[in-house]
Amino acid sequence: MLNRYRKELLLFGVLVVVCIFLTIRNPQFLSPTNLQNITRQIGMYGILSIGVAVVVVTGGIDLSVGSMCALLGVLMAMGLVEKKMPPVVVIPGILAVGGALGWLHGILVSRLKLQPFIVTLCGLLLYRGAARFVASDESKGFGDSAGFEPLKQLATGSVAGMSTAFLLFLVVTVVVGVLLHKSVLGRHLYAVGKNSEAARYAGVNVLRVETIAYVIAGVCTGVAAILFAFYTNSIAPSSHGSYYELYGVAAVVLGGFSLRGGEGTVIGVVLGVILLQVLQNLVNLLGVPSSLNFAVMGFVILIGALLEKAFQKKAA
Amino acid sequence: MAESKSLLSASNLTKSYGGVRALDSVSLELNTGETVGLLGANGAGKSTLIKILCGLVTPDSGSIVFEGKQVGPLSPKVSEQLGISVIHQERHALENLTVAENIYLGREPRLGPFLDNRSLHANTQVVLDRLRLDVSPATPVQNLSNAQRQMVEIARALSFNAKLVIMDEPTSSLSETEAERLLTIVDELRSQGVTVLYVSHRIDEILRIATRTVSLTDGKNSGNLAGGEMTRENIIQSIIGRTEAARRSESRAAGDARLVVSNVRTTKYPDSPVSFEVRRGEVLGITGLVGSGRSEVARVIFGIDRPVSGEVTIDGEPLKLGDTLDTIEKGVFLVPEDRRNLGVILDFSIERNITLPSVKDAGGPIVSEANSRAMATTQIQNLSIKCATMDQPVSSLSGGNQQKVALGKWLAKDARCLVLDEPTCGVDIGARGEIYDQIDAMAKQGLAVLMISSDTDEVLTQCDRVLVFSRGGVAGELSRDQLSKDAIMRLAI
Repeated sequence: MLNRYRKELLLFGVLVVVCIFLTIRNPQFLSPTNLQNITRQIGMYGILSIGVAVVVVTGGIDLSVGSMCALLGVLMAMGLVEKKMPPVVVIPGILAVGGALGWLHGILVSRLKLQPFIVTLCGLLLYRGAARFVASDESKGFGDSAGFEPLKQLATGSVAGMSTAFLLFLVVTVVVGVLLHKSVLGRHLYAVGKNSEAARYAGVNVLRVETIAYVIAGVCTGVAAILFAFYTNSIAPSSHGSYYELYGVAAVVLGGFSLRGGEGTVIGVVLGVILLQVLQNLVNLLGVPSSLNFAVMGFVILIGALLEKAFQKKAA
Repeated sequence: MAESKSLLSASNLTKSYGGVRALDSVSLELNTGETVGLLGANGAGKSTLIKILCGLVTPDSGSIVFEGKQVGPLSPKVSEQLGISVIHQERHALENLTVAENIYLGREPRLGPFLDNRSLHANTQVVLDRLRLDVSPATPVQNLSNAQRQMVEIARALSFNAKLVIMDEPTSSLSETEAERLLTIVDELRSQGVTVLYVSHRIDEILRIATRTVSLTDGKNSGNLAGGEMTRENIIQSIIGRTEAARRSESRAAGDARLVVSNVRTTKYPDSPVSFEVRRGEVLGITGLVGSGRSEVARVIFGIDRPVSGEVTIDGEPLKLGDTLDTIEKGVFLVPEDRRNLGVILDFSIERNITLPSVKDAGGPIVSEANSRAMATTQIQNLSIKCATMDQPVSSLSGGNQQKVALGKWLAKDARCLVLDEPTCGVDIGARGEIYDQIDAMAKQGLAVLMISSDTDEVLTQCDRVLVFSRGGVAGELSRDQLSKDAIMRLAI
């Protein structure tokens, strides 16, 4: 049991150490405002990362999620504000567009055998361009959110001291957790990631399973895009969501997933996302120059990878 | 050239893998400038012998004398320096490089830090001329035919000043005219004083070019022939061996046809339509030499490859060819030859592997942990899979137990026909017996079992009827009464 969750325990240990260190250096860390703020960030990036994780389990990758957030955000703002369409139409529509784009990635990867990196890199470029074109390169926003306060509330509000985005993240975590670890599809996802040929010989519908993974990533991106859009309240199509794909991949890798596929748990991604956001917070609270933001992230991921290797050798 | 000068003298070479003795006190004498044919059935020990000579495998005991000097442990490097070159069955030429770049790969002539292309091409031309090979040194290898690529390999061997060239089934992927061209080159090599050890199943070729033959059977020397003794008949006798395995005592009662294969032409052998049927309750064996098209047919039945044409039905229902999911849906299962890459997922647990094809059969989207574990327990007991827990990865099991997992995952489903490709390859004796018992039990339940095997003993003891494949087609069918090693070998060659 301990051995099975070795990576997760290791990560949890690191997280606890960082939190204790941070609390000692700046007690502000545990203030309700800070906690609410940080859990909101965790919620939004978490939903995004979980989608990426499902794709990574199959041995793929999704680099398009950041640009997709921009495109979906712009579309949503234009639909709600400029076209005055009702939220009950726009919200499912946004999720559907996310799912459809994911499906397209899935088809290109599974049926046409294109490399996931290339397909989603093209997505990254295409959706950014599309977002800027559709919005005529102008920021789109929700103003005072009149008419869709509940949506705004979902992104920025809180329930019993917990940010709603974080609660939503927990729901997504449970759903994807059941899917990955308890469902037939989950077993097939891991089998395809470990050895897709052997999975095919065992009667797994490899093409379908791969495609579904990208659809799940697309829908998760859709959910995250809605939250991010209302959180920032104004979507600049050229910069909104930039580098988010790297946050996603970073969280997944930090969470113990192998980019070769077939490995990793939902608990791992959750811990990975939390650690990344705590590190961001650390940079703010300890007065580290914010220019070092990414450098800190890169450094910690590198340390994590080294530790993992060291433990692996010990276990072997 | 002095005909009788000894080039290589290997004596008492012995090598065991696990408990299996692959080579047992084998001796081999090669003289300068002769072409020796090395013969033997599948698994007779030819590959092990070749691997020892080129330094890939260290023998457990025995000695090798090369040009009169005792040589220590061989490594690929030492072997190459001595002048031993092997042309492997599967070619290793790098497709994106040119002929010259391939031949001098790793020892390119240089001018200071730069490649000396002029010398590279000039040197290559010399070697190519020696082989009377009409290709330009600058031709990319990907533009060459199979035969020409083989020639490039030979040219590479010559560029090392090889004294002994070992060719392992060099014509197996060549057309007839290409093969003829290759044989001419072998003759050419002999006239230049190069010794050739020519390994092949094709007796005609051996008769045509070899000055002597050396035969192996079950890892032992089983006869050297030279001059007038070298006849087709004598060669066959020398590779069959004497021991005849005990036949199954009882014959199974076969019912009506279940799996019917009609006029299937595989992409590898489009000119050889294959037809046969497997009946209820029988074990049909398919044997033949490696590369005779047996596995290709299995892959078509299981829907991995689409055939050029043909039809396969199970209980009268046609299978959608090229659709593995449909094939499995209809109860036709395959245990593939490549166990480690296709038969099981090595990093997955025993439980996950066994239940992989059947988890979805329970209906709901959620896996019932209890069901899944019960299913695995049943198969672990049924096949006596030796393991500590069902959660350990399959990679931690022995070959035999891995194979039981590969088989067990199908036993958890409703089968109508089971295709087993080399079911006991690399499996120890104990596990072998348990797998045979299971196959027998399945036949008794009324399944149609198709067993593809290179192991003649296995075919003789386990099958009710045997098809012998040769060059992509069915060379003949043997009933239980007609079965013998002799009969199989005659059809296979």
